[in-house]
Amino acid sequence: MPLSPNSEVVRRPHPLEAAIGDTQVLLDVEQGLYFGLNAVASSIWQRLEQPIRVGDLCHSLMAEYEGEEARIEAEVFAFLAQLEAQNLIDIRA
Amino acid sequence: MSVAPLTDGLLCGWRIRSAIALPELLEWQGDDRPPDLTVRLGDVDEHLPEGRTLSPFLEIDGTGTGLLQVPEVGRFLVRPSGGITIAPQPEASAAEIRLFLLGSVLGLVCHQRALLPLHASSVVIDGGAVAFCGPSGMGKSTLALRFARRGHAVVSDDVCVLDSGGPARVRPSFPRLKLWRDAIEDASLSPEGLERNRRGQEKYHFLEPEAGVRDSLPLRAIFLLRRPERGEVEGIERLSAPLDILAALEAETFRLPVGRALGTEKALFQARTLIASTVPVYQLRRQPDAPPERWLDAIAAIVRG
Repeated sequence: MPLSPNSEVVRRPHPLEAAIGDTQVLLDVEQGLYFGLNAVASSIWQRLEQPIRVGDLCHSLMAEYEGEEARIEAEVFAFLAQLEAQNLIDIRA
Repeated sequence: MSVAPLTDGLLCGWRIRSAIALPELLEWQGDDRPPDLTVRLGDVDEHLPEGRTLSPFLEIDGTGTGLLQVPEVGRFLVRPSGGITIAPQPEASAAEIRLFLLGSVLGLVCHQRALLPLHASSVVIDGGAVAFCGPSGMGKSTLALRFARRGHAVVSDDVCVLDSGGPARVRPSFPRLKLWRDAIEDASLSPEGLERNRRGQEKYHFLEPEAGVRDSLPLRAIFLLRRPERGEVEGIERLSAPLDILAALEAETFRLPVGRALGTEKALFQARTLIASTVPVYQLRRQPDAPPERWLDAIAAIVRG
């Protein structure tokens, strides 16, 4: 599904999670795959617990992290695309 | 085979009552609780009525009961309640039956109780358990033997059982090592009088009954034994990337598919992530046939910090 600022994204249910040092580790039990999230990635991941509009997600990140709007948006879109490719989130138009 | 009452044994903190002698185990000296595990001899059907086949040798049913079939050794029915029934094949040796009871069956018992069994030999260094993991033939038991000969207690040989909850602790299995003839002779010992692991096999059961451990103890370190890849030198290196550590711990989980089939992934994940965040994990790269002696001091020094 193509991503736009109006898309709504949400985590898929039930990957197992734990913090190891600075890394947030996810285990997708169904796929048997581990994922490691760095600090920024896990701060995005935290915000995906409830469905959220991509535009709102970017704004909330801009309030926390310094950076140009366009660059943050680009990175968020790229990260969300990765999460979707790994079946970790659902994207709704 | 005797069915006379035998003294109860201690296995990973459990009280085990067995119809077959288990000379590997320390004697139970705990409270007068009923046995946690009971081993009987009896008939065992060829299949579980509602069993799911996990491998040609293992079925699990919806209640968590497991049936292990070992050709030329016997069938082992393992109930989650702790009742274990063995139907031995007539040609099986007593050592072979114990090999599978204290190996594959013990692994199954751990998974039924959502405990993480690592495929590791482990010894006591500096008051904690130090585990050696790695593919067969890489020298796990040999390293443990060398430490035992220096006076270190033996915590486990094949199956190293992690306790639930934190901090990471090991439930000692028993002080028996399975060793090839070379490893025994290289340590200036003789296989004479030792039981063979399998009939006709030059691998023996070496007991260090004086060197057993009763109580659980902290997991101090894990060493993954590896052959150096081309271009790598021998040495010890700590793993730092969490995903590398988790992948290694998953690879070293004893009978991993059994845990999956019993739905204990969450407990196993928690146990692995607890280890990854609190216990140092090292790669020990060495040629498997190189003398183990030179690594003992290095390992002990790293553990003692």
